[in-house]
Amino acid sequence: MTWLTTATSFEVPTSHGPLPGYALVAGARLYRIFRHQPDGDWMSPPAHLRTGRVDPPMTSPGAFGLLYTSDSIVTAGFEAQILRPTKDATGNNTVELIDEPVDPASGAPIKQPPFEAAHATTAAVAFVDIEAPELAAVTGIHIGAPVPRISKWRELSHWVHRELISKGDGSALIPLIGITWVSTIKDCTGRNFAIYEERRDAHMARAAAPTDRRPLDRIELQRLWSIA
Amino acid sequence: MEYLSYVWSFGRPQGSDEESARALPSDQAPEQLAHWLTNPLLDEGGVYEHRERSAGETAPEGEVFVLVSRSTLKRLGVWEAVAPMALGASLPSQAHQGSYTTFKATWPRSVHLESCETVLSRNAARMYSHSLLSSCKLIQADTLHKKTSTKDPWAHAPIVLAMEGGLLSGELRALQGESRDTERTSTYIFMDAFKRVNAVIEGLVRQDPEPEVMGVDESPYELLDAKTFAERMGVADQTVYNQEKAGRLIAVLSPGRERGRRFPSFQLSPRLNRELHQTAIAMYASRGRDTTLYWDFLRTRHEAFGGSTGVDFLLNRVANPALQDLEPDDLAGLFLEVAEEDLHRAVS
Repeated sequence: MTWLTTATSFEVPTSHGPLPGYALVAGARLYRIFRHQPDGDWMSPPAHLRTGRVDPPMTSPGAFGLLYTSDSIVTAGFEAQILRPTKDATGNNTVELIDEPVDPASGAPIKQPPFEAAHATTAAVAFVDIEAPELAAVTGIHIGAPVPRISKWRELSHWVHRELISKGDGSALIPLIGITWVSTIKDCTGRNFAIYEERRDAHMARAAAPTDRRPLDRIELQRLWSIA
Repeated sequence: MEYLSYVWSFGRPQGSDEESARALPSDQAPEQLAHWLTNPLLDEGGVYEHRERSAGETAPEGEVFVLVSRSTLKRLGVWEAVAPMALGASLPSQAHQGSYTTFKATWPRSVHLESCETVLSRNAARMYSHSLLSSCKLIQADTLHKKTSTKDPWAHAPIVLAMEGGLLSGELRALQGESRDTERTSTYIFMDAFKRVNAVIEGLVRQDPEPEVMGVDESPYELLDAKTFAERMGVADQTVYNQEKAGRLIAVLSPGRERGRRFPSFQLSPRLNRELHQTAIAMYASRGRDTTLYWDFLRTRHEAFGGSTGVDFLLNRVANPALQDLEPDDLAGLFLEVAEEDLHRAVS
């Protein structure tokens, strides 16, 4: 088993015309690093905390929930900001494995500790490429002009949920379960897959029971990053 | 590319047939400007020039115009000083049967871009082909889409016009080839209003009395103890602590340390966008988050900032030229949006 899940480009047939996307085979592993509890491995955070790149727009915070996953634990490490592209004290570019910050008064960690999970697809599944120009043309939502704005990503994700997922559109060949994009983190070339919650249970196998969650293996993350 | 300068030039270097568009490092800009500004200013209002060339006369060479966007002027703190000045544009001269025809126009800033286009179309149609004007409009429309705010189309009009002029120069040469005209076509471009604007900017920037408390060779990522930070600010230690408590400065733990918070030195720079910095500090505080997380965000290189860090952004040293053309409100919105996503990634 490889540490990196590779997706195949795939044209998603929809009532709005074919949309570029990617497909994963059955048994493909999708990785996630999470902190929120309980059930952060599988569940979206509460609606008021859904402020990620493809979460619902601020005007509709509870419109849908998403499970953010990545093609490897390294990509997930970048997405969770545990691996950070930074500048060192002399201003040179570097990538750091960030220490968990602690409260100077108590010495206690100021964030929940990170855990990791690797879920698997139970069948071949498809994802719409949220950065595809064809999707922008269909929706009239352009994320890149003059600079990419996260609010546009969220509008696009909302459109995919409203027009495709909720209506059962896009699943004529294989089930459409989410959206995908290349990580927007500097120095990270991995791919992300966000799965809409209403498609999650039917097409994904949860990695482990909540009582069997694994703390993030930082040494292994660093080893994989060194060979990535 | 490091975006060092607010002055751009478009034009043809001396003795060259090639058009160029380049950014000048700030330290070279004054010298170049001094040369450009020796040209006499044009009268305001649309003016046609049509004159015979003397024997052996060649097209003017080495002429350039300089431009600067309104948002850049605001960031430099000189917008109020230059706003009352008229801005203008010129279309390239066209050589035809031994004569030059040139269109130049200037207009007050209260004229909106739609009106500018009307002016260009009505007057320029007499001498420029329909296809050329169509290109002009397309370029304008495209540039508008990429560069301007729908709330205030005039905000970036100078850049629209400048890009248009630069591109029209190339179009003219192509047309000349089609008509088999062997005379060299002049691409003499005036943007005198921009020259004046930049002259004002140069003067004002040189007079900036604020002392550099962070040396140019020092790293903005250095972490200083309170005593050193206070000495560099020229204040008492307690003042530094008070400013941190008031949400005007941040102090963080060095990596791997559990005691002794330190102050990132970028906060000493006179280039710092203090208002945005304090807004971001307040945003983290409102989420109940420690400023160490904000410092992690500030040290991180972000794709949205063209690979620059949050610190670079606050010091107006971002490497993404597209950001130079955003309105200050849009810039602040982008910064806070990326910060909020960073926080979401770091804690969820």
